[in-house]
Formats: sequence, structure tokens, C-alpha cells
Amino acid sequence: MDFIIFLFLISLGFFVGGRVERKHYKDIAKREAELLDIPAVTSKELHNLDDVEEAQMVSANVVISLDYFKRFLAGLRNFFGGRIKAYETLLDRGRREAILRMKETAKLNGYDMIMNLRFETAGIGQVTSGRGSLGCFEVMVYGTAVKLRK
Amino acid sequence: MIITNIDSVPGRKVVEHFGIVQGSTVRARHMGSDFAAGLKNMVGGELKGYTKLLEDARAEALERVKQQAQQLGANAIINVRFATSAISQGAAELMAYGTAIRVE
Amino acid sequence: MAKFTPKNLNDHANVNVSKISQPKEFVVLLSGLIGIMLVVYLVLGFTLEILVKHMPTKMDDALANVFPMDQFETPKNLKSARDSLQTLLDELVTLWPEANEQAYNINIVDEDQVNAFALPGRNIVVLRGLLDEVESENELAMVLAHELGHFANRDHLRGMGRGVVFLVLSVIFFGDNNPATEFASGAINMVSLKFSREQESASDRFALDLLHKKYGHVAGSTDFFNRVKDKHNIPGFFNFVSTHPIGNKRVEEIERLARESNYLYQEKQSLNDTIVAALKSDDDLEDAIEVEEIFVEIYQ
Repeated sequence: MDFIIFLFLISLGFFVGGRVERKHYKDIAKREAELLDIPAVTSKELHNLDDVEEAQMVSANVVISLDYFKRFLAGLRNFFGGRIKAYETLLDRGRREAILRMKETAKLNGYDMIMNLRFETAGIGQVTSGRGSLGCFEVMVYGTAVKLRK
Repeated sequence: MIITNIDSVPGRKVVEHFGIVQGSTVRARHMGSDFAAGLKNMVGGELKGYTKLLEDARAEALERVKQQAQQLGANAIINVRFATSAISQGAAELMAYGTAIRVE
Repeated sequence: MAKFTPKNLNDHANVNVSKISQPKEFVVLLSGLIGIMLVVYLVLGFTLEILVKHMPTKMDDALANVFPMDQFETPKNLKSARDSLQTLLDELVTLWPEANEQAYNINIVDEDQVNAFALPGRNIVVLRGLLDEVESENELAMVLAHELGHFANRDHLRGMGRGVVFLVLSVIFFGDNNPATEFASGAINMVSLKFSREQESASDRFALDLLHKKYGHVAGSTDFFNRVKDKHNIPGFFNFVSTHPIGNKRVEEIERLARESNYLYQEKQSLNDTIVAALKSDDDLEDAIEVEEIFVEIYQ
């Protein structure tokens, strides 16, 4: 019986979770193209700061989790060692989603670009001690949005 | 209150420095969102409840930073940084800190 | 300010994501895990087998001190029934040469469930419900001999060892929150059930031989199992069928063994009067004594 539940969860994770991920990536690609006009940079200085009319910090966050299949796979990888692709895609999706949300906020408020972009990543799962959390992350991104004088 | 995470407020001149200001809040997840998150954990994807929870918590930490800055008579905070640390299972401290200044 | 040229990265060449086929990875890793589990399980079983075989009885007795055996004290109203059970058990033990003249102790627990257990320290516990079901001395002897068989094969130690050690190992390797641990322990449970069936039939064989030695025939050897096997729907953890898998196959197996050994079926002996009397008086008294549920399935 336990084994049937296990198989069900694994296939649910594989098919539904895989679908969710593909959909998310498609959505990310679309929005990245839309927000291409708002650059985000990691530098603290702009060469001509006099052009700036207004500056304000903006931030965005996203909590994202692995599906059952990927979590199982990551658990196996934890034992054998090596690259955990499941986490790679998870964090990649999370970071890009967070940047997009921040850019969306900035655009909505009439800002032109984001300076000094910083990431903050934290694992928040059931277990935050010992072997680290299993498959649940928060990615946060923040920076200073500036409005340029036209 | 102008907040930036760079060393200055672009377009404005810094008149006075007041030193460090900081604010933090400790939050625990609650049962309801835990349950929903547990279900969502099966198929993966964003856990909206947690996203909102952490967003609110960070906004509160930042609000506390602003209050400290106001007490000092500042009108801007520069070089703001965030820090997150797990206090215990299911509880986290969200912290924000920066330098309070007065600009023209 | 320098000129900004908006450009997007191509998702098909995402450098942050490894080019690995996950289903393939899943199959490879899982078979690796199962392989390792199998090796560990076999090695563990092998070591345990040696350990269990060569473990001195003294250590077995020491184990009995770890588990609180006074939980299984016979209540006063069943003392006389216990004494006649003890007499029957002693007679069986004298017919078992490998017992090395060591005494086996029996206790009755006042519970309605039908079951008996072999516990460390040469202790047998019979639940009153089982005595209610038994109709002849022969079938009672068969049940007691069956529990003695567990001692002969040292199942009471084996059952505790393997499952526990394996679970501990998987927790050490994977951490207790890892789904891989769930998978490992689930797989082990499935294997263990099979293992338990083999233990039961080995015990049955032992019991049948002992029964023949005692009475010169094997009448009544299957009576009890026949009666209990249809009661699968009795709820409860203490149920005989929950720890002793019984099916038609098991009864057939005992009958086949009896045929192979040319054991005869003759007249059955009636149950000792003191047992019958004790059970009757108990029904009148109806002072059931609560027993804490400290039995663990692995004790059998």
C-alpha cells in the first residue's frame, strides 16, 4: 500500500511538476522579453548621477518548492553526491522570477532602471538544520530603482 | 523616507550622517499555510502563502528601520541590506539594516 | 552613462541548468540505492544470523531485563490455569533435547485477543482469548510448541535485530526527513513480512515434531489454525492473525508435513480441568485487568 502511494506521488510529481516547470519557464521567457527595457545592474555607481531625478529601493521575493519526484531525486543525489539538477532549475526559476517581479514593481512606479542588484537566498523547509532543508527555498532580490531625468 | 541600497541617494546631496539603523522581526509559519504548502510540495511550484508571509515580514522589518531613522531625524536610509536567519524549525528572523542620513 | 543594449538570453542554452535527463538519472540512482540496500540487508542478515546463533542464553536473559517482563504477570484468578499450562509446557520442554534443561516460563494475560508471544528471557505469554478458543489439550500443546519453535530458531531475537538496524542505518545515511528513507523502510517492511512467514512455517515444523513426540500422534495440530484463520476480521493489534499469517496454505503445509513424516491422527486429549474451570470462573468475575499496549509486532 505504501508502495502504491509512493508510486502515485512520484508520477504525480514527475508529470504535474514537470508541466508546472515548463509552464513557468515559458512565462519567464515571455516576461523577460517584455521587461527588457528596464535594465538591472549590479554596479553602485552610474557615471552621471546628476541625471537621476528620484531613487527608491525596490525588492521582490518568491518561495518555490520541489515536486515529490525531484525531491526524491535530490534525496538520492544527496546520498551519492554530484550535481543536483532539480535544485539548479529550482533556484534558476526562483531567481529569474524574483528579478521579474522586482522589475515589474519598478516599471509600475515609473522607474527606468535598477542599480546595485543583490540576491538573498534562504532554505526554508521543514528542516533547516542538519542536512539542510529539503526542497523549499526563498529567493529575494533587491536593488535601488532610479528615475532618470529626461 | 528615501531608501536605497547604494552609498548615496542619486540626484541628492547628503547633508548629515546619523549612523546605523536596524529593524528585525521573527516570524513562524502557521498551521494553515503549512498544510497548503504540504499539498503544494507534492507537485512543486511557488508556495504563495510563504511568499506573502516573508514579504510581509520583511516589510515590517523595513518599517522598523524607517521608524528608527525617523527617531534620529533622518529623511533617507542608504546602503540597506537584508539578512535572514533560521531561529528554530519553522521560525525565521528577518532583518534589515542601513545608514540613516539627511539629504537636501 | 554608457549605452544600454537590451538583450535576452536563450533558454535553450541555460548554463545554470545541467544537461541531464532526469528520468534516466532517477532509474540509475534508484537501482544503485536498491543495490546498496540489498547488499547491506544481506550482509546484515548474515551477521545477525551468526550473532543470533552464537548469542549465549545469558545475553538473551539480559535482554529480558531490558524489557519490563513484569507487565505480563498472571492475574490471581488465572494462577491455577497458568500452573497447568506451565506443567504442559515443562513436559514439552523435556521432550526437546536442545533446551538443555533450561526452564521456560509461561504467563497468561487477561486480554480478549487471541494471541501468544515468545519474548526474550525464555518467556511465553498467552492471552486469555487464545485459551477461550482452544478445545483440546493437543491443540494447546501445538500452540505452545509453536512458540517454543520460535525460541529454537531464535526468531524473537532475529525479528528485533534486522528491521531496527536497517532503519537506523537508513536514517544515518539519508537523514530522517529524506524521502529515500521512507522508501527504504517501506521496502524493508515488504521483505520482512515474507521473512516472517518463513519463520512461522519453520516453527510449525518444529511444533509438529514435538507434538508427535509428546502424544505419539498429531491429532489436533491444525485445529486451532483452522478455527482462527477464518477470523481475519477480528479487529485489533493483539490478534493472532495480525502477527501470525495464517491461510489455507499454512494448514495444508502442516498436513503435508504430517503425511511426509507418517504421523498418525488418534484420539485427542481433553483440556485440563483447571484451565476450563479458571476460564469459567473468570467469565463470572469479569474483572478484566488492563494491560498496557507495549507489545511490539516484532515480538510475535
